[in-house]
Amino acid sequence: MNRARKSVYIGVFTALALIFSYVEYLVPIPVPVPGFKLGLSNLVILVILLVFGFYEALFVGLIKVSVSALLFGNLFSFCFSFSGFLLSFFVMVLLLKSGKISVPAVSLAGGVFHNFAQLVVASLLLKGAFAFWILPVLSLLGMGTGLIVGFLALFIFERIKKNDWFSSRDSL
Amino acid sequence: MKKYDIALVVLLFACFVAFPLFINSQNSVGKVANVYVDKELEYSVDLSEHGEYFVNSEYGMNRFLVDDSGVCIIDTDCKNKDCINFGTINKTGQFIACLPHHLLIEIQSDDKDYDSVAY
Repeated sequence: MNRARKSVYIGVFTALALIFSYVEYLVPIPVPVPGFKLGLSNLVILVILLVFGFYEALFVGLIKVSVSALLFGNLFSFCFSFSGFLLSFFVMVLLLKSGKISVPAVSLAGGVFHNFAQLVVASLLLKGAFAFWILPVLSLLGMGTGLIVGFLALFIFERIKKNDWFSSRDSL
Repeated sequence: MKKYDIALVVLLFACFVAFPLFINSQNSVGKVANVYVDKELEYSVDLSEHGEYFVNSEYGMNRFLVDDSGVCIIDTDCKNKDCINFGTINKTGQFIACLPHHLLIEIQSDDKDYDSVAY
């Protein structure tokens, strides 16, 4: 894939990740847990990680986190999504690199660590106490959403591979 | 593939769900609700003193209720209303946080030293 083509795809994917963040911002899920989100934009980042690689996914993720905080968030939401993204991203990269874990399970771990990082940051910002009592609920929710996102990402990735969308020939 | 997936899920479940649940079950019902704004203790409310309380700070207002079941926030003028979603708390170590208002309500037992167990 030549550089121009790749830049275009990365740009489109970044825009898609931002749209997903916006949708989640517009439609909060009625779950009695503060700040709970589906993590749809994680889907985009996971697909990029599978299709392109580490640096491209990191780039899109950092842009998405910064821009969505500027557009629909505040300093708090930036701290949360930034910490959550970094920890879950590196956990997912390590698990994928090991080659022994399938994509849905990788995404499940990502969901758990995303919520874990956010909870640690929230505790640090507030008082320095670590919030054990809400951790089980958040972790279970992270497992659920992570699993859904993981299956979707695997499905999309296999479609992309099968249809050869990102090859050098002039398709799409 | 499958074997490692299951091992990973079980490990995560043990560390992030079962272990914290076990720690929580060790906590007893607290006696005092401490209200913090900007990490400073604003006041302590005894859980036996039922009634409605207000917290007014430069960041905004929160109204909370103390009754038999514990402490819950019933009204706030912030945007996301996350603090109401925390529900009712009554065990040591539990807390309600309102980030926009820099507010934290935490349950403690009488003995303040003992409470460090909840970390």
